[in-house]
Formats: sequence, C-alpha cells, structure tokens
Amino acid sequence: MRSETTVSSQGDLVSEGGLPELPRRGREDGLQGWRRLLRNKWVLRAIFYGTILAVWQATAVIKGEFFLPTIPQTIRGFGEIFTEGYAGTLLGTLRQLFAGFLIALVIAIPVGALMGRFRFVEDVLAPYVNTLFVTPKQALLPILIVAVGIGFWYRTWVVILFAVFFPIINTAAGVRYVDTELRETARAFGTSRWRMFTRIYLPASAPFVVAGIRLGFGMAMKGMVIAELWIFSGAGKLLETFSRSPLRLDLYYPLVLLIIFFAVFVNELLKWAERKLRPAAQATGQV
Amino acid sequence: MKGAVEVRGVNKSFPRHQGGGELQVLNDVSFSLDAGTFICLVGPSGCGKSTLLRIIDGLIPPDSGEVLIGGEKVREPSLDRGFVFQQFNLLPWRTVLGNVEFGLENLGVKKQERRRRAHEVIKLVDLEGFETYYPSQLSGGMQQRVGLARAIAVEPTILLMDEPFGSVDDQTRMLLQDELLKIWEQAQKTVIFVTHDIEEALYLGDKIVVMRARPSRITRILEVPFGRPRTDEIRGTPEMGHLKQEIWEELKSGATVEG
Amino acid sequence: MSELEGATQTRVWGRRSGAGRRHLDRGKLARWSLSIALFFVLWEAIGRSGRLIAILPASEVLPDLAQQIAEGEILRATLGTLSIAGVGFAIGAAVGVPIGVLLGVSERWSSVLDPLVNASLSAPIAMFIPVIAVYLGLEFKAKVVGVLLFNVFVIIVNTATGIREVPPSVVEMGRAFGTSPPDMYRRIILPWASPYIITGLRIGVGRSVEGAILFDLFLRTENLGLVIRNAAGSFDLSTLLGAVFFITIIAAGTMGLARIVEWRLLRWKTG
Repeated sequence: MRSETTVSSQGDLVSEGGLPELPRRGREDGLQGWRRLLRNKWVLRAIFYGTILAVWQATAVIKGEFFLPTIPQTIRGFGEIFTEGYAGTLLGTLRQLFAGFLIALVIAIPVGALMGRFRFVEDVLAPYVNTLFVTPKQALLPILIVAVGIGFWYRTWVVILFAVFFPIINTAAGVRYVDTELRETARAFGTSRWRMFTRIYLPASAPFVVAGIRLGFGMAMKGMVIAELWIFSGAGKLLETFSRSPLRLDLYYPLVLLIIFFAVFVNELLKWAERKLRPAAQATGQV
Repeated sequence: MKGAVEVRGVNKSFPRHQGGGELQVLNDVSFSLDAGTFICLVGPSGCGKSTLLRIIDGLIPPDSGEVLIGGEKVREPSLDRGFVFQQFNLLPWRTVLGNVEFGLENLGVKKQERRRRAHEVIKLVDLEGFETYYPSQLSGGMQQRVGLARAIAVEPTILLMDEPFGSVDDQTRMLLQDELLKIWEQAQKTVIFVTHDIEEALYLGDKIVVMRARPSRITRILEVPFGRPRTDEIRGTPEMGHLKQEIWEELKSGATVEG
Repeated sequence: MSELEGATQTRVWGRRSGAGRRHLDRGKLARWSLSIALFFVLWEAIGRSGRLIAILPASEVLPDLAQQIAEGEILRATLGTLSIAGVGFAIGAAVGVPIGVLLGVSERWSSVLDPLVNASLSAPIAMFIPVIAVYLGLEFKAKVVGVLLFNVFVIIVNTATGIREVPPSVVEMGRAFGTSPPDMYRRIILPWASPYIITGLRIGVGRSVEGAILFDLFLRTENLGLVIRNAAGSFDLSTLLGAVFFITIIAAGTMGLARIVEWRLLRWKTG
C-alpha cells in the first residue's frame, strides 16, 4: 500500500497510486534483490496463479475426473471441442448473439440519445426503462416463449431485453454531459446543427456510448446463456450436457474458459476503444 | 529549549518517475531556530521546502541527518507539532466542529473538554456561528481557518504550515495573514511557514530562509527588520520593496537550472 | 465509466452536485405517477385489442393475481426467494467489502486479483449454473453460493474504487495528527469511501434478487421459480402474466427500497 513518491520530469514530486504508507514499525524498505522482485506485478501474478494451478492439479488427481479434470485432461478437452464439432454449435450461438446485440444497439442508442437530449422524452420513458432494467428478465422467458415460440426470435428477443439497458442509460448520460458542458459554448459560437452533431455530440459522447456497449455486451452474453439453458439449445445445451451423466467436466471447463476468454477479449477491446475516444471527447471541451 | 528547532545535515532524495536514478531534493540542509520564532521558508517549486517541512514534522524520514525539536530527535509525527495543509484536507462528512475536534480525539481528550477547547479555537479563528456547517458550504478561506483551528486546538509546541494560503484568492489571503499574526501574537509559538510568495514571507516572518533548487539547499537566512505588530502599511513601504527585490534576485540566480 | 452501473459518477465529495437531494422531488413523483398510470392504461388497451396474443388486459389479470395473493402461496414463495437473496447478499457484503478494501489499499493484491475480478464481471455467471449443481446440489446451499457469485464482484469493485478515491493528502493529514492505523480506516478511509461502498451494496441487492430468482428457476425449482414454471406450464396466460407482473413489482420494490436506504444514508453528504 505504498504510494511511490517519485520525481517527474518537471522536477515536481509526484505521488502515484495506492495510499501513502500507513504508520508501520521499522525503517523504510531498503529494496534489496528479492524484495524488489516481489514488487514486480508479473512475478506476483505468476506466483499466485501458479499456486492456483498447482492446487487445481493436485485436487484433480486426488479427487478424480468426476470432480475436477486434470490440467492435461482439460487441454485435451479443448481439442475435443473442436474435433467433435462442438465449436460449430458455439459459432451458431455467437451468430445469434451478435444479431440480437446489433438490433439491441440500433434500438438503444437512438432511444438513449433522445432521452439524454430531450427532457420530455426522458420523463416519459424513464420509469419504463428503469423498471424494466430492474425486472429479473428471466421471469419473462415463459411469456416470451408463448409469444414467439422457441426459434430465432426467442433468443434474439432475450438478448435484446438483456442488452438494451446499459446502452440506453450510458448514451443518455453521454448526451446529457454534452448538453451541460458544451452546448452553450458551441451555440455561442453559432455552430450549425450538423456541425454540432458531428463535431460535438458525437466525439464527446462517444466514450459514454462505448461504455454502454461494453456493459451491454456483457448483459447480452448473460441473456444468451440463460435463454439457452432454459430451452436446452446451443451453447447452453452443451454446458448442461457436459454436466450430466455422463459427466464430462473435461469438456465443461474448457467450454467455460472459452466463454470467459471471449468475454474478456471483447471487454478489453471495448475498454481500449473507450480510452482512445476519451481524448477526442476532452478536446471538444476546447470549443 | 522546548520549541527550539534544529535541522542538521538533512539529505533526501526520491527516485525519478521515468528513467532511472534519483533526484536529490534536499542537500545537506541545516539551520536552527529559537523557540517562539516565526520563520518562513521561501523558494521556487521543487526546491524541497515542502519536503523539508514534512521531514521536520516526521511525516517523511530523511535519508541522513536529523531534526531536533526541544533537543529531542524527530522520528514520527506527533501532536506536539501541528500541521496546516495547502489543500485543507478537511473531512467532508464532519462539521466544522467535528473537524476541529479531530486532533483532540487523537489526544484522547474527553468529549466535554474537547467541545470546550474546540469552541475556544473556533472563536479564535473567527468562525463562531459556523460550527454546524459542512466544509462544502464554506469558502476556501473559511475552510483553511478550520484547518488552522484544527492544528492549534491540540496546543502544539510548533506549528508547521505548508503554503496554507496558496489555494485562496489574494484578498482572502491578506485577511488570513493578518488573522494568523493576531493568533500567533497571543500564543507566541514557533511557526515554520512555507511559501513561494516573497511578500507574504516578509510580512509574516521574523526570519526568512531562502532556498534554491537543484541542488536544493539554503542560500541565505535573513532577519526581517520590521517591528511587531505588523500592519498593512508595511506592504507599501520602500523597504519592503527593496527586500522583495533582494530576495527575488537571490531566488532568480538560484533558480537557473542546469537541467 | 466503470462497473458503477454505467452512469457517470459526478464528483462524490464536491459541492452540491446534481446527484442527491435533501427532500423528495415533488415534480418527479408526479411525473412518475403519470407514467405508471399510463402504463396501466396501455396495458388495458393492448390487452383488449387482442393485437399481441400474449397480452391479456389488466382488468383480467389483476383480479386473478389478487386472489392468488390472498391464497397466500405466492407470498410464501416470495419470502422463500427473498430469503435466499438475503443470505447470499449478507455473505457477499461480509466477504466483498473487506476484499474490496484490500484491493483498494494494496497495490500488490490489486495487481494480482484485478484480472480475476474484472474477468468475473465481464463473463456471464449463469454459465456456472450446471456445475454449481454438480458440486453443491440443488438446494438452499447451492443457491446461496450462486447468489454470492452474482453479487460479490460488484461489491468488491465498488469498494475498491471508493478506497482508491481517498486522496493521499487526507491520509497524510491523518498521520500528521497521529492517527493510529485502525483509526485511519475507521475515521478517515472507510467514511471517505462509504458512498461508493454503499452504492456497491445497493447494486449488490439488485443482483442478489436477480440471482435468487434465477437459481429458483434453474436449480431446484421452487419459490418464485416454481410460480413461474407452474404458470408457464398451465398455459393459463392470466396466471402467467400476473406472476410476471408480481415478480416485477417485487424486484422493482426491493431495489427501490435499496435506493431509498442508500439515499438516506448518503443524504448528509450534500449537506
């Protein structure tokens, strides 16, 4: 929990990260060899996760494969997923996911923008948005099935229902932000409507919108998994099948890890995009 | 003697932010003061005056050298020394009264006594009537008065102030300076006051320690010739002007950077 | 923009920011009531028009629902689900806040565990449902663990963020005034972080309720999950709609309650 006090290139004292040393007995750390090593974050991560892997392997060996697959078994499982064609099922789910998500965005972003821009729209829609947001959407599944059956639209609607809220809320926040901070300044300069849109609203709200997309995508994935578990199809079906007789945890865990990797990948990608867009957003402040 | 401060051969360096190596922020700094003196540390940014103040308080340990207060070595912060920060550092969820009491709580003073002392000090800094206000409702100048009250409530032997009026506007600053002097004249504690404002230093202090940067050290210690109590008129006198110029020259030459 | 429910966080400790009011906003209440009234009107209208076959009018659904509530079964089910949510939440708070504090304070632990926590937030926890069943069965214990997985990461992240927001200069002030380490936490660090922690807990409540309903559907189907399943299986649209409506009210109500608690706890900060 040390805060590193270092000297920046301008010669000012810079305090980074964490909290300053809380009172501790003993002198200041003299950073000798192995202690310095322990402060390197990759070393720490290696130690921590290495230990986890070791415990995993040990448990797997002791308790047998119906409790936990060993690491080699898990790796083989990865391979089997591809060779046995399960990957195809996954891709099918993925396609549906993207389709549903895209539709959700097409709905959500304009709605959010309108809500952020026009107080009237927000007042009317906000109760519905907020209430639906907190409704457990899983309770809606049976109704949905009655309404649209269990085909393409079922999964698509579920994804839309889950994914649509964060983009709405965040887009609205982004537009609202522009309104409060920048619009007056822009108007004072007599900016035309089109330019307002492209030069101000778009770049300034972009990071917010991307944040909404990022969070929305996580929800979309969640909705998809739940939808598929409910009707026993797609990736959800695989997750269920591998966890029942015959127990194939050596296929289950690779599947789960794949999903995690995918989720983290998309998340990091969008976070990067958010970061990249932020300077542009701040630049519009210099109107 | 209690309240006498002695700084001996203090060195301090910090690692560089980018690129390796360290920057020597304080270089063999030594000086001493008698108890009850009001001394100002003046210098450009980066000359280490704030660091020096913190070393004197015990917040940061020196690399080498030592600080003696009343003959005793300083190891860690203690309520014998009051500190006033540039950024106020008030606790936003506490009222003015609550904030002033903060140090007293650490002393273990009982509630009734605490209240009494806090009220006394609040009166001293002219904030009577504002006891139940929250920091967010106060102006910068008032917030700093709370910071000052908090520091003197614990009745420390010496008072350390790190550019305390740096965050307020000019007019408020001058008012606060006068208030500070008024309070100090009553208690006559040792005060070490860090500032980059030369006029402020001359207006407030008995002595001025002029520091330079890179390498950081003391270039000069001078006695301020103005009598006490100080009044506003001093600000406009030619003597003030000359002294300001003198110190400014000193700082300018010290501030040329070799990089 | 973080996992903090997506909306922008205005400066928490600044002067009167937009977020936070002393008293209930009368105007907003009025508009809400109008929208709710509008909702029922629409429901009735759409139901009667028969356009969406899945929707029956409110005038049919609500009386049926009222009768069901009177029979008591649905209330007992609600209690069942909410108690699962409650226990899961309590554990999540008890575990999540300390871990969050650890991550906020210690750079080392933060660098090690942050990837794990972030991964858990982006990945769909629901995918663990089958395997929770394998390891823990289908009963109360399994559901509570499931709910725990749902809420704990949000609580951790918000707590850690709150701790990281504590300015080092305030901690320095604490040290200058001779505050002992436990007191630092009690009187400075935790109070400063409390808005974030409380917000995290509020979100945690929502996720706990969501999770409880989910596990009451997918593990041993009981409580509100059973209500939904039965309603779905019976092909009685009225019961189904009524059940969904009721659950929505419960969920919204719980989270609204949590928001009110949060608002009251943090009201003084706009002071």
